Amino acid sequence: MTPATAHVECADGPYEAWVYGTGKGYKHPGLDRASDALTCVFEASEPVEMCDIPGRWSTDKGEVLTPVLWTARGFKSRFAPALFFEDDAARGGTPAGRLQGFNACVGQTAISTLTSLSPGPRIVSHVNYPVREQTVFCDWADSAEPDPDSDPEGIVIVAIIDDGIPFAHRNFTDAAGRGTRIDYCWSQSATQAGHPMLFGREYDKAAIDALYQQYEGDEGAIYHAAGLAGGGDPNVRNPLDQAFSHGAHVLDSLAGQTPGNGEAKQDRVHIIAVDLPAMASAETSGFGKDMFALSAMHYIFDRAERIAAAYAKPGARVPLIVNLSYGHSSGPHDGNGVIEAAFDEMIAARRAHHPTAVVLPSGNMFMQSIHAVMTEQHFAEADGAVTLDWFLPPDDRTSSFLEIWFPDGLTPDDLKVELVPPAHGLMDAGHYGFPSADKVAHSPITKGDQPVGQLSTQQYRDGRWRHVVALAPTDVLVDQVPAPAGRWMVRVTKTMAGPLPGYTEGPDGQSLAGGLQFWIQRDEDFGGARSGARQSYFIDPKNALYTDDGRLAETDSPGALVRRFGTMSGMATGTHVLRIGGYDETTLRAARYSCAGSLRSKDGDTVPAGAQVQLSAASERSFTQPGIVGAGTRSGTYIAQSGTSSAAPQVARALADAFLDTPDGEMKTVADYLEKLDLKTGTGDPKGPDRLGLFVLRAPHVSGSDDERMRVERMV
Amino acid sequence: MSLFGPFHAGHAGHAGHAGHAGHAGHAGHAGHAGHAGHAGHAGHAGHAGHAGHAGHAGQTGVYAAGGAVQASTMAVVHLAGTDDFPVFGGGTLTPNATDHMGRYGQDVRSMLLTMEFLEGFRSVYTPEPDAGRLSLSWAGTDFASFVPASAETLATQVNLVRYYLDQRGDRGAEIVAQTGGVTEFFAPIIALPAARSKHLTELLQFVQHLAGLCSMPAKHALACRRPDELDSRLVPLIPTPSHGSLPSGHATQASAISTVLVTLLEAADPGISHVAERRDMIHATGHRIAVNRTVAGVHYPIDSAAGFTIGINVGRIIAALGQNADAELLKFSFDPNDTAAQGADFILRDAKALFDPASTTPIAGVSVERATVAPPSADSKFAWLWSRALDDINHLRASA
Repeated sequence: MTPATAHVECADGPYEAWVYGTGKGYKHPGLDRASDALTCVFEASEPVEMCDIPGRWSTDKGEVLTPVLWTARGFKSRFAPALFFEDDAARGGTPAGRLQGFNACVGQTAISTLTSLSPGPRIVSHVNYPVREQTVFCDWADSAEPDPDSDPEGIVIVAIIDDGIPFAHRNFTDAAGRGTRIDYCWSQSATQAGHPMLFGREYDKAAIDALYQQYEGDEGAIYHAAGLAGGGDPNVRNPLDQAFSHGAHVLDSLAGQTPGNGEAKQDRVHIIAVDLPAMASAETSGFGKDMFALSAMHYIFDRAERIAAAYAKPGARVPLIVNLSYGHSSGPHDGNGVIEAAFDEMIAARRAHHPTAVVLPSGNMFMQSIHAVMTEQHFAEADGAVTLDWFLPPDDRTSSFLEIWFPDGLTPDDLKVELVPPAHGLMDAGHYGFPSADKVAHSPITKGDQPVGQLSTQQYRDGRWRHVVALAPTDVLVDQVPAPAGRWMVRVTKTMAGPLPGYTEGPDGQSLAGGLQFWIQRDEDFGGARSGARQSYFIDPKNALYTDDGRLAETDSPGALVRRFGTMSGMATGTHVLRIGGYDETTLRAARYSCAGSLRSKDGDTVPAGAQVQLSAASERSFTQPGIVGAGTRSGTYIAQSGTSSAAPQVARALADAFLDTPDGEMKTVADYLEKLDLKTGTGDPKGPDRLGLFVLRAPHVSGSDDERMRVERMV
Repeated sequence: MSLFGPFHAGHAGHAGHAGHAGHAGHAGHAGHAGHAGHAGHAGHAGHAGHAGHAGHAGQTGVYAAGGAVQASTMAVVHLAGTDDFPVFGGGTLTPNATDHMGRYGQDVRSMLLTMEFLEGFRSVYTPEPDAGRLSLSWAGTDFASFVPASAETLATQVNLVRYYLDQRGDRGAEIVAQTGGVTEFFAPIIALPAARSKHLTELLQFVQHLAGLCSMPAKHALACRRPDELDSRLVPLIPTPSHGSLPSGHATQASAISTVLVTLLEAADPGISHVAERRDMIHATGHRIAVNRTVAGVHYPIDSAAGFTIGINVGRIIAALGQNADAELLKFSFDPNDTAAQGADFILRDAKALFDPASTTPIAGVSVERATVAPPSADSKFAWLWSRALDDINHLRASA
């Protein structure tokens, strides 16, 4: 109860330490403006009632502000999103200095504010990417709640978190063409028009319809007026400036109908959309999006309450299906990532009253050699010291990150991990050891006394230990030292007595992670961000890239370190989310890139271990017709888009359809949701059940062959 | 050549010059095998194929019309009568006048400028007990000197080449297009259609030709095996040229073109937009062209660095002659066997540091001194082409 017992700290994670500290001089896409407001996810050691968190509080350097939080039914969570808006005088400092100021005053104030609410929690701030100054509205007030509709009915709510949401697109109008079916759209990077939010603007149905009238259906003019297109700032990427955006395609798969072919019953599907800032999407380190995604989820849950109150019959269960077609490859992959744990708390709380599903893609990195596991067998075969080569490509303008996760119960004292740089790089040392740490510590990798990388040791969220390697870009534009491209080697020496634990079964039958697990963070240029990102990967001679008949190998090689199974998105391993893979509609085989959960050996069999793909949908039509056809940013345009991002919203849509037809059911567990769907099993793919889960078959959501989407499907 | 057709067609659109068929002929050249052909000189036709391009196409047409033209001309000479003509009233041409450059075809100008440049150019190989040294000089001043790459250096460098293999998917089209000339890749940056930059186009193509010539004695002297001779896995994307790897001819050409183009931009009338940004893009394009050869599997990164040390000076010499000014040379000395150079990549940061005489960024294995060198003549024929190219550049003025 007393502040004295409280403990304040900054997570000081490896990514924050590199991006805002040691590696701050290198290019980090989206991080080039000092004026922007820092964001973070607060984590308390005990759940805090959301309605007790103040909307803003002052510190000596600026203000801490919280966006819309879901407060219904006394929701308590350990996690809350926030941003820190500095006073003008505090601006212009170095990123590291700003970060320190942020941690000091935000942490102190947060704890003194919250300790009065809950007995002595620790509060940790996980710092994320900044939000653009021009999009922040400190003096915002939430919009008014709508009046209840006089004619309540059975409704379903679908929601999307993505980037480049074309809220004026005609595929989201009602069947009669009277107005949009989007009840709420929060464009997190909008600067103009619309209702101001803490950052970005909100467009509700009335606002969207009014803009449509005002600009006579000129969608380009609408987005321009919102500050979402034609902005003229070359440093800000506006997806709605482009013909196609990720969000347009995904939302169309989730809830689109083509003009003249709409079904009236779809009018009972209410849409909530959150458009993430493109710069948050562009970041390649993986930690930057958490605040944006968490605040988006709070907003969606909050607006779902409003929609239920206004349109649903009193006391009715109101299903909410959220699609988040994002992913990365870092994190513990055991459901304990910050964003995963935060989502799980929200989903569980809402499910107690209403059906709630959050749908995530499994990821597209199955074939990219970004995952490896060292097991007891490897150490036994190699006299206790195992090596793994990590290839850093030349011409990579963004940092590369490698995560090494210890199994539960082990510490860095049990396995000594070292990084050996390529000899031609002439680094200051022939090999680098990781720092020892009570909780977290970082040490630089240097060349000519200049840091070109960072080694971190961290007990992640008080749970498992991890090492993280951050390496500078191999190509730099200004006078900096690049990290040498080539083979970096990770050398692991077993120092513990007894065998390295393999996968084990927990008391609830879940598999516990085993072996020393490696993931390379996703490092790709996203959606034309021109970040110059290039993906690094492992080289493992035991990993056969091709099968005997010359095909690309889609199964793991016996004895290899590198694994395809286990590449599952690091955002999608939570307990309560649905993980979606992609398949080829013609062959019903897994799309080559579609990520999967881990496998392990048990009594001579290969069995799933940990979070698996539960459902799959088509992400390719055929070998010659790649991708799934969906909307571009402007009405009447379509594009074929591949990837599990395209599969996930089909599952979300199938769920929404199922709830429209049969709204009943308790729907407390993931199994309830699988049961709800008309699913197929059995494929020609021997790895099908493990890799793909159950199949959702693509239902044509069009009623006539003259439908514009069908015409495009035949052409591209 | 048809293989290259589609790519050239695309770039012809850019640069607007129809001369690309002729230029494709130069593609044979491009690898520098062509330069050998040029030196051996199968006569003017061959030369024209190199330097002539669009401009020359018309002349060729006249020859092609051949007998018919002759016949029709003879059919009308009776109209001039049969009397002796008086002494020509226009007087004689001024001997040795630079202005006559305007009377010549592009091919003739190319020959004259080549010869003028070569009067000051020397390539000297000095055997030394260990490795030997190759020095290129102009007007008596060494501007680039090298030692041959050791087997150990190449063993490290060939790995770097292999690291670039993954990028062939990204860069394949460029690489194939750049086996011909590379001047078109600069045109979009300066927003000049070939139709209104006739002399600038001629100058850049000449720079490319001359830079290629200057790299060849160095390649011969340094006698460096190509990457695919050392590592069978490289399987180059384009045919490996027959001449030595160090220095890269493409890097020499691209850096010479970059240097000349930036000098022109900076010498042009005020009012041209975004000079600093265009300069950065020109430098980056020069660098990218060089790296593309590594992605293709035909050059080591050290070849690019070495090529830049030559090309930058060739560009500076041409700029000096064009302006009848002293040449501000950067006397580069490059040791590819330097411990740091052996494993060094050649990234844009390095290229920019070489271009910029004021840079303090160290480049592995490279030392540099500045030298001011007076040109052999105060009346260079380069000035004729330079001033006209500058006029072309001035079309960029915002107020025009």
